[in-house]
Amino acid sequence: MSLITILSPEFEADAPELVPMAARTVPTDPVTITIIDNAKPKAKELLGYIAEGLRDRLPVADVVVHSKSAAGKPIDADVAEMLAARSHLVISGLGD
Amino acid sequence: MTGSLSLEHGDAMEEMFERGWTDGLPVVPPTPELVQAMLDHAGVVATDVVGTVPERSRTVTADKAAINAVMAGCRPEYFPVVLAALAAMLEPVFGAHTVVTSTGGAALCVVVSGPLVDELGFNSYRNALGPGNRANATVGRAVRLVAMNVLGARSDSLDGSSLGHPGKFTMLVAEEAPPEGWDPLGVELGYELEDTTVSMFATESPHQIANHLNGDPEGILLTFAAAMSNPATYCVGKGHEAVIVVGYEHRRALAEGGWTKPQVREFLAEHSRVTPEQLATGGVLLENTKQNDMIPGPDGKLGTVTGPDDIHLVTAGSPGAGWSAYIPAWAPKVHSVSATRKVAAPGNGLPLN
Repeated sequence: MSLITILSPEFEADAPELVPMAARTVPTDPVTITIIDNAKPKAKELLGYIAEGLRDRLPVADVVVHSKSAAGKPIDADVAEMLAARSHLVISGLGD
Repeated sequence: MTGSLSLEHGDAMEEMFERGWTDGLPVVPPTPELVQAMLDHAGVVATDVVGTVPERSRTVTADKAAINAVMAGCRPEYFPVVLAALAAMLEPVFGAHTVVTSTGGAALCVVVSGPLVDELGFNSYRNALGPGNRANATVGRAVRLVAMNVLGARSDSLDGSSLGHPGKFTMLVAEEAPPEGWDPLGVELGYELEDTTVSMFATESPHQIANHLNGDPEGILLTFAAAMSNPATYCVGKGHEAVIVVGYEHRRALAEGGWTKPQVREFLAEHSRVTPEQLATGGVLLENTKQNDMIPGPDGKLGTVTGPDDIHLVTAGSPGAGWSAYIPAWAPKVHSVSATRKVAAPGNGLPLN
């Protein structure tokens, strides 16, 4: 039997630094919820339905919709910062 | 630093299957010697960066490209073509993050145009889209293995294809020299005749087009347009890029009939426009979203391509009864746009433009 050395074809990188989850708290002051409509059919309607459902659980002051140009296009970093600054809760992510 | 394994020769294949490194078919064990031969031929070093996919924090380096090219079965001479394909695929306009993840199941369709088609032995003639040629099969396969192993596009991970299709194993179109009066694809895209270019398209599987009896150029083009107007194709009426592989009899009839490539594109762009009623006969409803706002134009129709320049005519195939192929993009241009790179000469490093 003979030994062979083979190289890994996979992406290799140092494990990312772990970031702790934000504290799970129940807000008492009115909150702004932002929905990221990813432009898939019915995305805005479905996520909006979820946001409205949260009114029973949270003191929702406002539901804001941000619509992306296309599902596959990422949100620019400055837009993400803006959404984070104005929102207490952001709902994103939707498949077909 | 690339990880390695040392194991019994006879165990290598099963180990690679076990680790999920293959596409389901056997691969060539990527030994350091074989990988170095790839890098040396292209004139790149292991850490050279071919491109990145920022959305998933993944970088494709030359060594990973070479390892996957070895596994795919590439000869070192093919590696500059693989690098050009990967560099094009990793251009932001191509949207690799979405392309290799979407439920639509896109192929990474490689189109090679220029002198290297013959010099490296690609098959652009008989059975041009079929099996049996090492260059065609392995270059396309190398690109897919990079997507799987480096970008993480695997069925149990970030490849969300509902069905996929066989073109996701490998899909490469090598361009046969076009008839007199027609420029090769690379020249049409602004490169020189002596350049070899690689264009990347995210596509569905090829849809074969048959027109065996009609030698009239307009009749042939109406058949092409009918294929493009099929309501069952996702992009119909939504504005996408299309590749049309123009087969032997069809390209001869068109060129000898005096049709130029721009005239063919113009005709097809116009005649592939569809009405909402045409789509309704196929049971297809109009999508009205920000990404696909299907509002008919003043003529009451929707464009299947956004304009004539979105139709890429590539000549391939041998004499037969009269076959061509329509290869639609997997999604409209808002999601992905084709990208092209010139193949760098051996020893000259990464493809830069």
